Amino acid sequence: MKKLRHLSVILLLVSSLFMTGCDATQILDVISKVAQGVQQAMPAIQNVVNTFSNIFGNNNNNNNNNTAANNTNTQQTADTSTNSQANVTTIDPNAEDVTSNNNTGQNNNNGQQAATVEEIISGAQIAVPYSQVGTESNLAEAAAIKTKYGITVLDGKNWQDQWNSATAAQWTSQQAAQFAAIMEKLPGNFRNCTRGFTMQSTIRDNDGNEPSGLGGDPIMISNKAIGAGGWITMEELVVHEMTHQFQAKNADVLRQWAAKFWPNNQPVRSSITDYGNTDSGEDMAECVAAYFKDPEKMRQHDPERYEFIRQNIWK
Amino acid sequence: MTRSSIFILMILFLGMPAFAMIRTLPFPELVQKAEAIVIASVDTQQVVSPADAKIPETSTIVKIEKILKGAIEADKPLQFNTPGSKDHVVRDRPRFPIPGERVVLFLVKNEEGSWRILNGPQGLWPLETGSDKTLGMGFNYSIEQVEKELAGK
Repeated sequence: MKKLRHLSVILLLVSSLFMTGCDATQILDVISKVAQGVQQAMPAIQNVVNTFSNIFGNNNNNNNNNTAANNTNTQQTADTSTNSQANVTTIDPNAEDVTSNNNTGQNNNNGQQAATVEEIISGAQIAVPYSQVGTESNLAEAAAIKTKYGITVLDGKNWQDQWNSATAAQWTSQQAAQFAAIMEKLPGNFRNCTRGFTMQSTIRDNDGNEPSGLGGDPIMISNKAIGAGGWITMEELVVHEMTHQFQAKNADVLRQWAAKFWPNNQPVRSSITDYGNTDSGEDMAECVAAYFKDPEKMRQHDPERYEFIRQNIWK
Repeated sequence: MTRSSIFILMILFLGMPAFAMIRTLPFPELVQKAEAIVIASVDTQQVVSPADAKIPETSTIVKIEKILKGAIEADKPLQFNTPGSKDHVVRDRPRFPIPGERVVLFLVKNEEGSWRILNGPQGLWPLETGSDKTLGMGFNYSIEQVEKELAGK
């Protein structure tokens, strides 16, 4: 493990060298991403190390760290122990419900559910260069938001692709101040998953519908949706879309949510809104937005979902 | 140069995100705005876009089983082309279940006079096989509630 830590430090230094010509924010961003990746890969690396240790008879105490994985993936553990004494399980223990359901093949819908969760995760991870969709706002409030929370505030450009289009808009001082107030209330762990927000005047899809916002990086929000005569508050929309960024960077939390509240790809009981009943990702986003806006209402609607958010997301 | 290469490496460029949060219509408004509401079964489904298309397009043909609202020809199948496929799902767009399964469709006519689904995923409620329970954004409702709403109750 010591060697692995040294390897991580070397990796970070190499990344820094490659970043010549970039500003400090980008360097820090890359470093944090590499560090995050190494951290996430640790359990898998550890399992590989264990495998070799077991194969070569180097019996050490590392197996104790795999207790969770062994306990929850009984089918797989039994298989591997029959084949050899090596523990080759590299499944994240947090994803045990989804995986074990697939392994037993009890229900084909479980396979569909797993695919859906992965689709949600990859959808949330979609990113585009910020310069394609906006320019950085020159408001003093926007600069303060970037300094304090690391979130880039962009004035949206006109753009169109095969499925959606948007018209240009600029943040107002009032909107930026309102946005900053929302950021202040969010837990750092949740807030830090988001890097950029773009304000668009309107967003349309090619079926003629008007989305309130688009997930991904940067998040895009519709001024029409949150403005006077709009249909959603800024805080609901912002927290909803930020939850998708949280999902992008905390995939296992979404997998756990789906396994608990969406077995067989259907909700065990209704989400807090109709829109939340479309899939597990939207369910979580709607419930987190409701938790932020009115925690007591969320608790009364569904104490289990409330508790899940409190323990796994709002920390 | 180094800077731009790293930038490209860091960003997975897939076009703009098809990850839109739609405006949910209140149930009475959904029923009222729909020019036709039907129960239909999925007949055939095939990907109609070229194999190398960035985002595939699927054509689905449904047969009308029951008309709940509107002047629509019951014996004429309806065809819908939607973004995505079984293996490449485009979220927040209407998503038909597999052939043989049934749906409730809330429809409006587009400018060309053909039918389109009202308000994306809100206008397509899959029905649970056997029970006819409405799923998706129809989870909290039922066919009976649609009928009651239409009857003005």
